[in-house]
Amino acid sequence: MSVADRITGLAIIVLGVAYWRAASALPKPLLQQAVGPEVFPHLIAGALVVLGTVLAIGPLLRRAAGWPARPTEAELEGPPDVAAILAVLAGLALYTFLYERVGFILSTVLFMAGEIAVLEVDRRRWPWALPVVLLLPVALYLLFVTLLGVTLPAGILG
Amino acid sequence: MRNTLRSSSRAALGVVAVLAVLVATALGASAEWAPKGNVSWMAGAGPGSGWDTTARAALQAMTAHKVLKHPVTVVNKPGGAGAIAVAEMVNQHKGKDDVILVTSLPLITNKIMGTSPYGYKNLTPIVRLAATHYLVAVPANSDIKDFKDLIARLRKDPKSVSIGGSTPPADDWAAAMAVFGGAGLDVTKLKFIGYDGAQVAGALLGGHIQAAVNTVGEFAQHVEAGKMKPLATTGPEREPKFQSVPTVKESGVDVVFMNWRGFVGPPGMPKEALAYWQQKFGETVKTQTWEDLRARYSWADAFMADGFDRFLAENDRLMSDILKNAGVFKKK
Amino acid sequence: MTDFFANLVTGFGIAVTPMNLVYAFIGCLVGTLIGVLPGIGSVTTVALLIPITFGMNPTSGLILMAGVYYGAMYGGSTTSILANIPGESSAVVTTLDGHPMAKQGRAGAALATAAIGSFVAGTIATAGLMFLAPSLASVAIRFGPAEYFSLMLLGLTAVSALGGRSVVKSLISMCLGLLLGTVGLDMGGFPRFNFGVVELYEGVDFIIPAIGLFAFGEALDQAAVVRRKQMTHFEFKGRAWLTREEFRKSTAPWLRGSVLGFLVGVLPGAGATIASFFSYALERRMSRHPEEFGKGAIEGVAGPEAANNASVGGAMVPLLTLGIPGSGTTAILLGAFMMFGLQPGPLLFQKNPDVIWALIASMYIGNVMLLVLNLPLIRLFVKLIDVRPAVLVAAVLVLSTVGVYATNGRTFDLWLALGFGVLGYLARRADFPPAPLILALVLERSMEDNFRRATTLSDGSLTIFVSRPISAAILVLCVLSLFSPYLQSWFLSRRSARGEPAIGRS
Repeated sequence: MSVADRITGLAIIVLGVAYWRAASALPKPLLQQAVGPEVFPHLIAGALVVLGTVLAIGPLLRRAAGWPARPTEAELEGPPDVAAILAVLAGLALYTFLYERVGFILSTVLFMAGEIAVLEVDRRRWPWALPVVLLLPVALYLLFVTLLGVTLPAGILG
Repeated sequence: MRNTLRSSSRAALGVVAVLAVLVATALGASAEWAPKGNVSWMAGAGPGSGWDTTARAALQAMTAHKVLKHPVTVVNKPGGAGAIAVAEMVNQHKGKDDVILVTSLPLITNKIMGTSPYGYKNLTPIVRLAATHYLVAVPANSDIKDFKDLIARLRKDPKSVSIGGSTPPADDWAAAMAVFGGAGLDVTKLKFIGYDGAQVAGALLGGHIQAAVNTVGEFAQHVEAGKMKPLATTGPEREPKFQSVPTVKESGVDVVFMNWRGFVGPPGMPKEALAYWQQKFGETVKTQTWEDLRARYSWADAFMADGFDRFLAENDRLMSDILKNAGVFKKK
Repeated sequence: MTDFFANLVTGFGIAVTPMNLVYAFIGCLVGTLIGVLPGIGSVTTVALLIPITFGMNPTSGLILMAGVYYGAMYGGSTTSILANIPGESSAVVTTLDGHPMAKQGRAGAALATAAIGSFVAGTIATAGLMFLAPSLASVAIRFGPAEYFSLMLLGLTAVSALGGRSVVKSLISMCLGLLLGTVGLDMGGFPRFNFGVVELYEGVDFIIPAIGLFAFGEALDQAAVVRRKQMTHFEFKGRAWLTREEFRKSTAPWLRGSVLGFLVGVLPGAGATIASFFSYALERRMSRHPEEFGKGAIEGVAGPEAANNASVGGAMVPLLTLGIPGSGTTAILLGAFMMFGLQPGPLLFQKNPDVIWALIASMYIGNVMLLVLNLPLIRLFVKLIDVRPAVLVAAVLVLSTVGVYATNGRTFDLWLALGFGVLGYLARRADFPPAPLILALVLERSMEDNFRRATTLSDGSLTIFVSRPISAAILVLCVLSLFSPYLQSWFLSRRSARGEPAIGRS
């Protein structure tokens, strides 16, 4: 994973530099203090730059020292099911988009149905999931809104 | 599992019954305007916060004395020190008559500091319900004799006494700035240590700071227990609890400082709705329950309906001065 | 001493009325059930109950709320173990070994060790509260800004125990947490790094990265393999109880966690999260098999769960004796006391001894009830999640979403959590541990604020951290904690060289 580490390391360095600059631009605080609001962020930014550098050149050092590269857990597991991951992410994004627009119950039913359709390979099992897909959202809504008084979006059903 | 659901639904019935729903009873004067359905009282912070407590206390008094004939729900909209709730009032509830917001000093300070785009001018002031006064205190064994002594020491060397309060721009901090700024001190030179809420009492008791400014309510018990020495209070008159403690004004610094609590409506709230709530809150503050709750939370009686808008304008000027002295408009 | 027991007997006399027992039971039950829901932590649960207790007499009302507080603290562990959803910041560590245990079919054992640990901890902490409250309170106020800063720093050293095979990656995760911690209203009066976004004005609530990194990350991880491996079920089933071996392994962590949690809980502002992280780090250091941590070590569940429950009893000390709430939940409880017309603080024990002793008695009772209630529930919970993996992944995502949304009621937080979910998944693939980020996020504010208070008080001099004895002692602990793995292996190698048995046999 030395390529991924190198890219991550560079990204961390960039983040550190940007964070340093944002910290330098903070307005003057209303409390007169020995240590102002920019000091901790500067320390953290400095640490990020150093750690990013170590991460980026670490594999090179290790190779130079003749140590074997360590496989990550991911490499041991093999390539992921990218389609499934993207489907879950797209589903979550759509779910979030619809959350307040159509309301909790409807968007949740849709989301669960979609996720199960993607992840459950055995189509004969689909009907069995139906009660959960229909009942869980309603039960959660009743539990949170009626019993606990916590607001969940009612949406077009409300 | 069935059992568990049953008992929690019983608990929920409790909520519904006690908190929100007031059973409508037959009313005599049908000509009088009243909200039609459920009314929302918004609080810009979570349950248990100061705003939430204010709203629920007022509601408790109204419920106990049957002031209202329609249901009220307290809705918590936390975020941005109340700025999110204010923005929702302005943007989503314009002209409505069934939603009002409980608020206090941050309505003013957020606008001045630029952390909220909207201020009191964007809303419809309804009533000021109560006020909180502040207490300047030192540990019981402190050699600071009285308020004048404290000011004299600070005048000689502003860093000689470390003072604790809340972090700016919250109320305890503003109170301290008003008091010490009013005494002619350069507040930017003070050794002022900001704490989160109640932690300041611990810091003073533990001797980590030498003086502190906090609400009368929070310090009262420590004074009664003999652990703190009260120097002065910031209200217009002496506190009922501390008749022997002079006000800041009596001690030679011409400052009265309070945090107010009140309700505002959305922009363009109908006149009859405004009149309705002013009258209902007017009835509420006369109830025994409200009196008791006020005493419990150490809120001073400060009801004001007409003229609340003028008070807010005045408060806005006062806070602008305080924040300016503390350096808000420098380097921005 | 006889005073204590006379008072306690009086307390039990008040608490043990049929009605109050019912309240204690309802409190524990409702607390557990609500605590299971992510996003509804103990703070919200207790706050929601305040209106219900309006009409009650103070004793019954407080008994109900204490039950809820305990129940919620315990309930938070359930979703951590079963679904990798940490509903409270103190339950984050529980996921580290609790969820791996569940995946190995030891969910029942993980839940049981949490339940018994909570009982042991609650009982020990209540005893601590009863005997030590006044004297501990006077120690607690000696903690000033310098001491708190050093303590938070010590908390941060726990990062070294939070897994990850690469020190650099653990430290990067920690620094990202610190960075997130600086977002929001600064003690100087202005918001920092919120880029004008009003939703970020008060900072990033820990629940958003916690659910994003842990729950979403885990769900994505499962989604990545569910189809390819043709999984029909997870190996969640198994016994709903501890084996003799597991019980033996849990005993010492329960006791250590209880004492540690109680002492940390006494300090206002330190609280349950630090207690649970401390306990995890301690257990890993004490263990003869530190390499098992993160892969289902029962000690990694037993210790932190005991610690976070014991911190509840600890947090009652400054609340009852000084009127200073040390945590979000005790701040709400303070409000509840006020509502009943009671003022917690130096005068409470003199003015209302009956209420206090009844409360203490009810805390003992509540603990017993919690245990009796939860052991049977474990069986139910374990059964509940034995569904098809696809259904479980979907349900976990829905529950996590509710948890995030319910905290502030806005979809902004959901988008943010989704971003953390992606980050969490990528981080997992690249071996970045997420726990240091959460720990650092929770500690940053207090650490920075206290550093700034201390240096302002000392006019900019750093000697304040070493010239104050308590602070200096904590800093020595920091150094020891950082180097203890090396010291330990050095000692072990010396002992084994001399043919002595290894230490740590309990």
